[in-house]
Amino acid sequence: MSLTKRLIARLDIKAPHLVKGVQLEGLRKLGNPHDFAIRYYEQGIDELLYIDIVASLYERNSIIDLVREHTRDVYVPITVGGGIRSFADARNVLLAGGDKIAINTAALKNSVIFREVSEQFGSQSVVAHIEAKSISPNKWEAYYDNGREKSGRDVLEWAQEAVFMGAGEILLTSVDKEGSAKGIDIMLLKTMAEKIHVPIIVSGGVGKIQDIEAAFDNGADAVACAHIFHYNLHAIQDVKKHLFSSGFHVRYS
Amino acid sequence: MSDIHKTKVALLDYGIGNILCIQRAFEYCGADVTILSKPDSLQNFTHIVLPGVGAFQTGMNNLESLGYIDFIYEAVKLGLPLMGICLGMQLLFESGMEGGYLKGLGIFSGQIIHIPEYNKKNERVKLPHIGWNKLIIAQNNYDRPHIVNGLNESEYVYFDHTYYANISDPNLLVAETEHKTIFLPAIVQQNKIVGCQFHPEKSGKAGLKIIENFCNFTLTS
Repeated sequence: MSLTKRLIARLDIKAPHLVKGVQLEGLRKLGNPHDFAIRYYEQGIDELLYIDIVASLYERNSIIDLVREHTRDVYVPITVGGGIRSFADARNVLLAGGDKIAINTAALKNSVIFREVSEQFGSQSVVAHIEAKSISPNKWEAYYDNGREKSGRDVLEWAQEAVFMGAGEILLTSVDKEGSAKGIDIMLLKTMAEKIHVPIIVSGGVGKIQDIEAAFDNGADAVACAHIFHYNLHAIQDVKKHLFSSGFHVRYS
Repeated sequence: MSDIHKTKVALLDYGIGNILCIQRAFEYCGADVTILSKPDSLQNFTHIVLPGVGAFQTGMNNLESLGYIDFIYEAVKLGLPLMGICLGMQLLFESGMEGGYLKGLGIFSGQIIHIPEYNKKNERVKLPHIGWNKLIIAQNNYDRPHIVNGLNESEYVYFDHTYYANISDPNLLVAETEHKTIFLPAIVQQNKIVGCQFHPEKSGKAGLKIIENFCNFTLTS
């Protein structure tokens, strides 16, 4: 026995709407994120991940108000990312009821933000959000601003630096797979899991239950799904039941 | 209707923790919650909650500078039910080893230490210990109010930590959890003082049940 494999619902937010990107480009409004969050909680989701997909570009922080409202009805952990630029932003997320802060753009500019937040709130509340794009076989570059801008940094080196600076978890998004529902980037995950000894959350590409199994088999501690939950392709308890009967250690009873 | 039996929780705000979710979880369980930013008269409360996320040293420093240490000792002396959550639980122990030896509140005997990075089989242990793990209820006969009443046999709760309580008194243990063959105390209890290493306010219905049980502790039970 050990920790269970986690199933996370990823909610991309363009406040006040829940949206779904296709390859991180065209956006579709899906509804009120609060309704989705409550449904997922009731169905037994292990965690929620809120990503404010416009914050880094338009300097908004309204996701914090949204999180403050949602934590009234949802008693599972919430990770918040998108536009966290400073220690003060991170603190505001925690005060609004968020448990963990996912940071990408600001950390690529200066990784000291990981240290500042982890020294005050502990590394368990700091998630390095890494957007990886394949550039050659077994090589990935770190992107930011929701997969739009390249940093020039090698993803594996960057992940190691992030952990060294205090990140307690890696949220690994494949820019190539995001929004495709065509499966996760297995090689990226495998390579990362060999190098990194903090939990890894995989995001991007899950279109069916087998994709989740493949992630767990290749070193993921958690999988963040949007597509299959938002479009109601599978209820969470059905996914858990399937994983449980396939022998995966999940929170299911 | 008199509110004489109403649970009145003092939730200590010492600048370190996500008190909002704890407040909401206790309110969900029917308690009146007052967020205290400095010590207040204990007569106004039936229960004390010590939350906390982050570093041991910051936690102790803040408790001290806000004058909470005597407040907590006084509450314990009066026999008020007290719950420490995550770092709040850790601070109830004698000492912590997070960046050197640090003195804790000393209400529970034991020391807060780093979870080993390798287990006895020399396997690498992923840290922090983040996620849902199973509560293993300890089999001992120590008599106390029942914090785990009404829980199913296999109940999972949400953990998020790197340090754990190395308890000196085995009777403290109510429940533990296992991470890569390493056993970690999950719930400790001495009379009406309870410590949860995990986050009951983030552990779904199981966590809410534990909070409800705690709210049902009374001064005279």
